[in-house]
Amino acid sequence: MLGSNAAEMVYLGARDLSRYKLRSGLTMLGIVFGVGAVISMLAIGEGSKRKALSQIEMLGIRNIVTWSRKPPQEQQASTKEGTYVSEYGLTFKDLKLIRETVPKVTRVVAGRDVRQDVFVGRKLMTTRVLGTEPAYAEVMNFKPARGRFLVSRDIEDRAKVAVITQGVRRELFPLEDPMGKCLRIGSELFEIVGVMEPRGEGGKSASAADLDRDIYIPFTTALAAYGTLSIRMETGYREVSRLELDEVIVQAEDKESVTEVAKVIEAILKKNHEKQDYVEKVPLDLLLQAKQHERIWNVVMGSIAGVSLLVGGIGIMNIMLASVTERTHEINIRRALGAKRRDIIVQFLVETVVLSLFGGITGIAPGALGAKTVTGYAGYDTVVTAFSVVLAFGISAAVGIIFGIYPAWKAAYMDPVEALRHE
Amino acid sequence: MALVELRDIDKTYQMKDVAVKALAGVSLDFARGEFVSIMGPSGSGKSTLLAILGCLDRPTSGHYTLNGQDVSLASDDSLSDIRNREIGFIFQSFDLIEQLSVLENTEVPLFYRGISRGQRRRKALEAIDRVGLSDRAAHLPRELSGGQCQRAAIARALVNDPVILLADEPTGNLDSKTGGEIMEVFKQLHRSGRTILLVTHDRDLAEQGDRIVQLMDGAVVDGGN
Repeated sequence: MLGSNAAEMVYLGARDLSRYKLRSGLTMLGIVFGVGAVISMLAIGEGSKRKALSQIEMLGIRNIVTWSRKPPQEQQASTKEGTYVSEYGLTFKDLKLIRETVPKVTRVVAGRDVRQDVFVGRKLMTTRVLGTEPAYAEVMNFKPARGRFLVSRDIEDRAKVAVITQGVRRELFPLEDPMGKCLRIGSELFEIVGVMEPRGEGGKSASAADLDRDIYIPFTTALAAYGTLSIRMETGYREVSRLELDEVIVQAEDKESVTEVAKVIEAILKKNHEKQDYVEKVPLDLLLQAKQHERIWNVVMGSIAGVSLLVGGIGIMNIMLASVTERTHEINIRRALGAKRRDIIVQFLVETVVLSLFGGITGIAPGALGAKTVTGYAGYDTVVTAFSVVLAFGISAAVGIIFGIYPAWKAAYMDPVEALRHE
Repeated sequence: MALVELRDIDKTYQMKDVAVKALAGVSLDFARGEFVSIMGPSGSGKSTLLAILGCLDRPTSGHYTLNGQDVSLASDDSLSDIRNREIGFIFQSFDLIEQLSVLENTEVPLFYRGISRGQRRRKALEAIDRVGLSDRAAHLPRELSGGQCQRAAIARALVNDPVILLADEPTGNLDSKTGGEIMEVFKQLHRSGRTILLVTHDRDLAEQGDRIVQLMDGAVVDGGN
């Protein structure tokens, strides 16, 4: 009789619950919050995972990235008055050593930020102008949307060509087509030969936005036009720094050799850089780290959500027990009229599940809202996935069944003889 | 063979340390189509006998045969089936389910019998028509008078076409005029061939049946076979 009457039992259950709207509503609240917690926990977790992955993906999973950085002790020295020349960072020698000695490497790409302002007409943009090589696009898995990226001819000819990213296009060419137009970088003019595809999700993630503001020029042109010295004027002092390379990106043959390659590079650099004027980043390590963080996050937030669901479930059980006691006579009458124990169990289980499912459905919206609120603080998008909605359904149904069994069992095992007693 | 055969029925309730004997060696036969009144003061075992007759409880010892079936050893599920198909209950306080309409209340026994929705509706409406309550079918119990409630309860008791009707003080909560009307319904059912067991302490009502069984201290003192 269950199959054909399932819809009717749900209807009757919902009708019984709606007799006590306030009570049913308050009972549901526990599940609403529990499911809300699950939904927002998953949305936040998913958002941070996607952010981490997109950042890592942008750096390339087979890559080992090294950046020059000003050594910590010199940063302090430069606050003194006067002129200070600092020399630091990755050198051409490092690049040569890495190219010649590191095994299991497919590509090595050098990059140099020319540290010059960019103008189009009177419009100024301060951003990273990276002198680099054609392989940069492949290593970073970055493709031109229009035109082309740098080619080897550009390197050989020290061509005055530039490839811009979407961020630059938006800022400097909001209305016109940038292809073939001119850019002034410092005092030199460059022709735009390509525009890269958009990078990152909506540019909300900080590092994606950074990459989406780059301008790429040939490496040789960068060195020839701007040299390796850069001067920064500050009130009170002048800082001159000498720096050969800003970044070196090494692409390993495959994922398995990344760690090994990273170790070799680390060994080479350590020998020549006692001042620690470089940073080595292995995106693969970041990925593993991100996964580890995700696991911890899931355990912590899962426990919190679990506790709130437990509390919600106990609330439901409590109310259902009260309801069973209150409806003892009805149950006995049903038994006298031929209801089997399992009919009574089903009746009360259906009520509990309807209650908790309804609570679960109601909890999805506040959960998504909670996740949205967190977006504001976290600085990344939270993502309510279809999976988490399905999970919320499953969890609330499970809570209904688990916490409904005891009250239903209690109802079913009352003595039907009591039907003959008068109130 | 009688419709109902009770043989040496004992019922003992175990309270903490003392055993209370509610029925002691009750043997009774009820024939098909009989209208029997069961009388006795409180504590005489009336309710216990009714519970056993209604398959709401099992005897401690003895045998109970209903419609040719020994029910004294039946499982809880089969007792539910027997109550559902063979027995129609009519209670003193009507005991309609308050949140269900007259029609829905009448459908309850059909629901537990697994009858489809459409057929349930049809049969329930028929039963309601028989007790003259057709214009109240959609009403909730609280919107009905006591007499109407008891008619609804009778419709519910009749809907599965049981072999026996068990009425427990069916007029106890009604005024004498309405009580009389309900008794008329019972007499009419009796005339149409129904077997009715009426439990009451009112001698006037009891005398309207074919026979009076008198209980005292858990035993039949008068009217047995």
